[in-house]
Amino acid sequence: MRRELQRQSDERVAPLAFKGWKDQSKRNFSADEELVVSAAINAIMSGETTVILTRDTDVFEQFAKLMEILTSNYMCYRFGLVRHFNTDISMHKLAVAHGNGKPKLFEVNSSRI
Amino acid sequence: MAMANPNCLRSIHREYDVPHSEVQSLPPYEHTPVHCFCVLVGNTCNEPKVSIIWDFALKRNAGGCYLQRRSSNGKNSSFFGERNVVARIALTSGQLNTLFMLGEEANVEYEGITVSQIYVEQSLRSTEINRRTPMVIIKLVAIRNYCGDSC
Repeated sequence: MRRELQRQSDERVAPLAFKGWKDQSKRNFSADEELVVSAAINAIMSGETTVILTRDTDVFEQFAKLMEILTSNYMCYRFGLVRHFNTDISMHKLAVAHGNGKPKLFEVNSSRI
Repeated sequence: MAMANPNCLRSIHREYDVPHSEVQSLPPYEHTPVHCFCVLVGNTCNEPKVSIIWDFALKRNAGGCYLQRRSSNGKNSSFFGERNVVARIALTSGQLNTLFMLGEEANVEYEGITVSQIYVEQSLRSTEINRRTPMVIIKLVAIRNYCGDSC
């Protein structure tokens, strides 16, 4: 199983995945995940600064992974908004005007967002 | 540009290759940044070390994103019906690029549960940025000062 996980995943994720597989019968199986997800949800929904203080490297790695996923999802959400309100934009390499701080592409219909 | 794994989407409808610097300028232009830290305390009490990860990218506006995900069965955008928007980030000769793909998701059976392959890929593999960014390791003498010599 360890070899299979190392083949499927990268070096940061494989140890976590193996540990998860090994500990799946434990009662506190998802405690680390619950901790990091609760911290992120609390930060987003309350707008308050949130700190996790831990000596568990697994929590640290899980947090890094969660931040990566949240960032990626939010980026897609923002791009989806732009794509939805700008259906006439070109489909490949985007023509971007440099110098004024905002991409020209998104100035076209940005008032509709 | 490192291409995204084409297997994570059943069919790719559109692709957009955007410089990462421009991705930061996507609307909404107004946002409220939220600080979220994870502080890892390690080593011994005589020479404590602290690693910190924080993410300024968390924003109050992200709440809208997750409400939308709830209503669209886990999709990043609810505007495209059965299609989803997926992003891949890669470092190419020192420059960050983001590839957005709009397509239909492929589902896989993983550990007895049917899930979108995008999320399996996303969970098992890190982006180039995450893999290459060294963790910030700081010697925190302050902890010893706070604890005193008895620590």
